[in-house]
Amino acid sequence: MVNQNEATQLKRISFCQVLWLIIQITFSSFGGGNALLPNINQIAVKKRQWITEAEFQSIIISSNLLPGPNVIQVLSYIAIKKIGFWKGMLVTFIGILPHIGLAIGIYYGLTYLPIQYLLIVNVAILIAISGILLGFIINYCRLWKQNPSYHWSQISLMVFSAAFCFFVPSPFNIPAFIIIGVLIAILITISYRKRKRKH
Amino acid sequence: MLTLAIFVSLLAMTFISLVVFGGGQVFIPMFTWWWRTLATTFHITYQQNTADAIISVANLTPGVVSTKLAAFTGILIANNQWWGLMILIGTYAFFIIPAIIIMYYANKWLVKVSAGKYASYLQWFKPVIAGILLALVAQLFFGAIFVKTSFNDSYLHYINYQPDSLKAQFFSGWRLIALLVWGPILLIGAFIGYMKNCHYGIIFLVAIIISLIVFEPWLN
Repeated sequence: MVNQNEATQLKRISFCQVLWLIIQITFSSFGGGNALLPNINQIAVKKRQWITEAEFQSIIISSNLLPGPNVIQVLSYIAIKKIGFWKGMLVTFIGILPHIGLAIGIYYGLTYLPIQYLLIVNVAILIAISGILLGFIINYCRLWKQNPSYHWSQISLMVFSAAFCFFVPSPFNIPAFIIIGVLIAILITISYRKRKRKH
Repeated sequence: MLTLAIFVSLLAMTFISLVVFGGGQVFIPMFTWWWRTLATTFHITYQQNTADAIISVANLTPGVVSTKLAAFTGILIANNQWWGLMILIGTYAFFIIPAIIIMYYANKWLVKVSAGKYASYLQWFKPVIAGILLALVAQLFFGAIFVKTSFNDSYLHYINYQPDSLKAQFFSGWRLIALLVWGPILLIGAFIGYMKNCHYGIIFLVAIIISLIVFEPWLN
């Protein structure tokens, strides 16, 4: 029996399959940014098993740590991993375009569309996404707590991160600030431990 | 002048892509800043109504908010002319390609780190991600149900009272009460649906259908 890691390696994926994945995700996700992650997780990790859960968690961290639109980075990572750098970049470029076309169409058709229907759809979807995200966070925390290096103080780090992003005035509440802060703390700890060993 | 505006906008798209972290709504202030710069420096036709319509459409429609804003920059430069579609491809390309390249090279380094002796340290990033997502849930949920007030849009408007917005006007009276009751029920329903492995399409479809029945948009 193959495990999930081996299963992801064994699958041979075509350009069109990756293109369809990107179109499917961009047309079925709302909210932008991290709000799209549960949908990507369900389609690319759970349903198609193109990447492992551990790999997905690692790319969430790196895409939030790096500048640039994180959803594009996550999708391009999956595409490049499956079909190589150039094809992966091309398929991400093409795959994102159709939903932009839809937005442009709606922009020009806005004068003909009754706005109250759009408002209701928007409210319904944003609240549904909040519920889905909540479930995604609980599953994410379960996986993180199962890790042997789990420490209770990580809960307070989670609460601090949430409070920072919610209460610190925008645009100074950039999530990358906390990630960079943790990165600096890790580097200091590593260098401190190295020094201690030398002495 | 127009050629220069196009050229500088392409560079600006790369600049915005390389200085903003995360995704979604965090890109909006940078794009509105650039659209205003285009209007003042290159005399591109730009009105606040147009920007509001673009931001509303980018948030209302599915997909990646920032790429839609990058594409709309091309349309703004062309002032709704047909050739704006070509500029749109350019602004979109200059926005996403640098982000993809950065991810590709940075991830190679990250894979090495995760496989090495520092792997256990990476666990410390996971609570941060969980916290970021938790804040996002609060932002999306409260933003959806408190229609007359926006919270933390910027440090200048930390709590912004907007009773005249389209959304506030529509969700007023009995619809506002319905929203405050139906919102938490929908949140819990979607949560249970996710935990029971329901398909996203079904969760969204049920949410939209019941919301249409609850808010009755066909009534005046």
